[in-house]
Amino acid sequence: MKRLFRRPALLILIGLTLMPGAAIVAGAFPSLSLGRLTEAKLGGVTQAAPLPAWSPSAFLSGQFQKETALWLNERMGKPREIMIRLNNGVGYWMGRSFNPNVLIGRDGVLFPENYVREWCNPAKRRNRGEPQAATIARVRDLVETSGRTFVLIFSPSKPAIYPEYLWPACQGDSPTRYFNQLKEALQKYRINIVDGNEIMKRAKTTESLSLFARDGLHWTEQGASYVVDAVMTSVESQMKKPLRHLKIKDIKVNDRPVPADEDLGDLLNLPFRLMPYPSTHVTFEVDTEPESPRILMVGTSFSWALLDLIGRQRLSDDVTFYFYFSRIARFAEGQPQSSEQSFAAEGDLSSALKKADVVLLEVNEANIFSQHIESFAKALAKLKP
Amino acid sequence: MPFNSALFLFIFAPLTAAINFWLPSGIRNVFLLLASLAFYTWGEPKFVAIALAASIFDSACASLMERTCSSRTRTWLLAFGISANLGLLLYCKYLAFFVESLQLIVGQLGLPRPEILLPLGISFIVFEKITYLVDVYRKVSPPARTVVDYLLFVFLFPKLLAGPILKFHEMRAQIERHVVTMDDVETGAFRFALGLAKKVLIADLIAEIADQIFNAPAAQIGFAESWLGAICFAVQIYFDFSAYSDMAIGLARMLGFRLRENFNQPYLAFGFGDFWRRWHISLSTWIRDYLYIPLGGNRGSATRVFINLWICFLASGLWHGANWTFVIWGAFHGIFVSADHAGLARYARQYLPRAVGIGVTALLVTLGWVLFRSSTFSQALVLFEAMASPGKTSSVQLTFETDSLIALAIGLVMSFTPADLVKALTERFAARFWPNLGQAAILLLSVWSFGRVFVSTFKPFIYFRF
Repeated sequence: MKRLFRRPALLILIGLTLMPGAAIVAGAFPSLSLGRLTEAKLGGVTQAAPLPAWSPSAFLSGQFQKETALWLNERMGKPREIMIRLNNGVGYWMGRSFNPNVLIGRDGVLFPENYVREWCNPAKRRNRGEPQAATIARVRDLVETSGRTFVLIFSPSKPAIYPEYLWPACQGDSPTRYFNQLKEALQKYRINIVDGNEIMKRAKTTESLSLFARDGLHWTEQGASYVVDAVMTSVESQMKKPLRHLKIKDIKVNDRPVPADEDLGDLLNLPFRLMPYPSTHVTFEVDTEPESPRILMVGTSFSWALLDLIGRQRLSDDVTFYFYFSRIARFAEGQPQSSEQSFAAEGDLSSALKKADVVLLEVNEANIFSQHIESFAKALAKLKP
Repeated sequence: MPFNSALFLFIFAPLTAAINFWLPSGIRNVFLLLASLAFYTWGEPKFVAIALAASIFDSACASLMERTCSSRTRTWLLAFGISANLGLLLYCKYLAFFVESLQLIVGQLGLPRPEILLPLGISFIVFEKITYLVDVYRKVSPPARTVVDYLLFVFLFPKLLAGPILKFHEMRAQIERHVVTMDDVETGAFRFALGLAKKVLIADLIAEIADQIFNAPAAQIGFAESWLGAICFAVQIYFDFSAYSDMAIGLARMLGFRLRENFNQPYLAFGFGDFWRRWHISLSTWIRDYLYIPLGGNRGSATRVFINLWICFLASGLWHGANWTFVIWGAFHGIFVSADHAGLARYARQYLPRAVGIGVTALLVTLGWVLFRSSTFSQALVLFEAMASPGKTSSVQLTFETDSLIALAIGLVMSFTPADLVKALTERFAARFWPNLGQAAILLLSVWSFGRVFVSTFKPFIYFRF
């Protein structure tokens, strides 16, 4: 051992090599109280590697070996986290994202890869719009038959609103894009639509700051507020009574984005914070005298911002939100509640629909075939009239 | 279990090296054999039994050869042993290729394409087993002291998957007695770390450019991109292969074995003969000792020598892969090695400046790599056409990351800078500022490399939908 200590560089190299294995051992023996070594705080979610299942056939096919490698990898704790972040940091400074789900555009604007792929690549099939339009129309019919007001909301895609930041640039917005196919097919159904894509494009011409967070996948609170206002206007005209509206009272700008606006940045798993950029923080005012409708909303992750605005600003005192028609979140008199339980929406639908005045269905333009639309339609159809 | 996997780097290798270091020398071979078999079984659970049985068969052949006085019997045993080994290689690696080629030549025979999974490292394993039989036959070396020693020679895990190809007579003494010192551990560890950095920080990044270009339709590739692809692959294959050799040599050193160098700055070669004395040295010396010399080598007429060279290079091409592109690549090198042998090298050295000779050799070798990397000969021809058409532009969009281009630049500089110059500069700089500069640099590269290994299996999403 003395000979080893006389070689500090070798000692360090051995230490670096043994640390990940030590994290596995520490994880296997919690009584050693080496929690710091085992806890890796990496951004994003991955499917947890299952405990490898041994069987002769699994071993012979190599499946056991693959599972074991992934399982052990995940347990290499803090050393793994540090090494990943260091590698990613070096890569970032050379313009590379080591997360294939996140692309780095011009000026460091981050984009989700699947949205960019959808925007840049022409759709492969035609005539996909009509079946989906028919499903949405069925939802509208079922909702309105039950005496509720229905609004379809299109949330925008970041590459569609800010294509100038894409690198490499692409043509985008092909005529055969599925979103365009859907909009064309929807025309004959006369559905009340709030098109977030058009609203954001219009707002972009007058707003100097971005309506999508630089390091985020979703719209900013300010961006979402334009769509919320349009939704309330649409509902108001259908219900034929004045409702509450959002009014922007004040916009503060600083370099501290809210955590929700850094979700893509978190996925990069860097060893440093990204360079600050101007972030808007909006103060709203709402006249609470007019009525507040009770709202049932079904949508994607873009709806969280809508829910927050509608619920927290008391545009509605009773909002139920079904995230991908699965998990449930609510706002009651400005107070949020949410549940992590998946696939709970269908069981809750009957009671939620009974008390709702308005049903909102939010669909993102980059994923018009999202399963939540069909699931909602089927669940509505099952309800007793 | 690839060397650049977390399981190998952080669990298998350190455990094996540590246990080997502390074990008494009497049982080290048994331990290393068990570890090597575990390593091979992990990656190749179906073939390991066959490889073991074949090795025990060789061991039996060699023992019989040693015991018999009849030279005829010895020759028969050698022929039988080599045939069995080559038969195994031919079956596993080349059967499908032969069936397809036969049907191409004589027309459809209705033969199904055999679907045989290529066992890991089989090309290296078979060649090493042949060296054992031939060395015993030639009485260059007696048979291994024990079956354990022989099996360790075959299955020693540092060189099992990608060489260097060992010769039994070179390893025998080390297998019978090898000592591990702290110097060995230190030198080996840093050599391994350097190899890992070359592989994951340079070769893999350059591969992204080469793969984009070679995977795109060849007809859509323009002049600049075709040259870029050729140069990238030339650097990639050198760094990839030499990195594996570095890791193998480093690991073996940590276990107490000293393996020969497998690369010696091949892109500084002057002439193809010189290139093959610097590139995959273990393969070229194997071919020289176990194929070229038995065929007659330099003895005989000029025609006979050229035939021998051609056979060797065609075999070398085929050894690299079961595809006509590899055979043609081997023939391409055969032409130039024969030309060197005929006097071209002597003439060139006399009249050409060294830098020009090196440049021309590197250029021709790079053209050869286009053949090697292309999946079909027609693809290679289309790329050659693009390389000869300065006006041709690409009609396919290719994007290159900045770090890949930086890696290519570093790779080119390292490929063409003489190692002794680098060593002299480093020593002078290190002596002036910091003696441990080299090791410190490798440590930093190691942390970076480890992170790179981890990210290959970590691709998080923002949220799960449900």
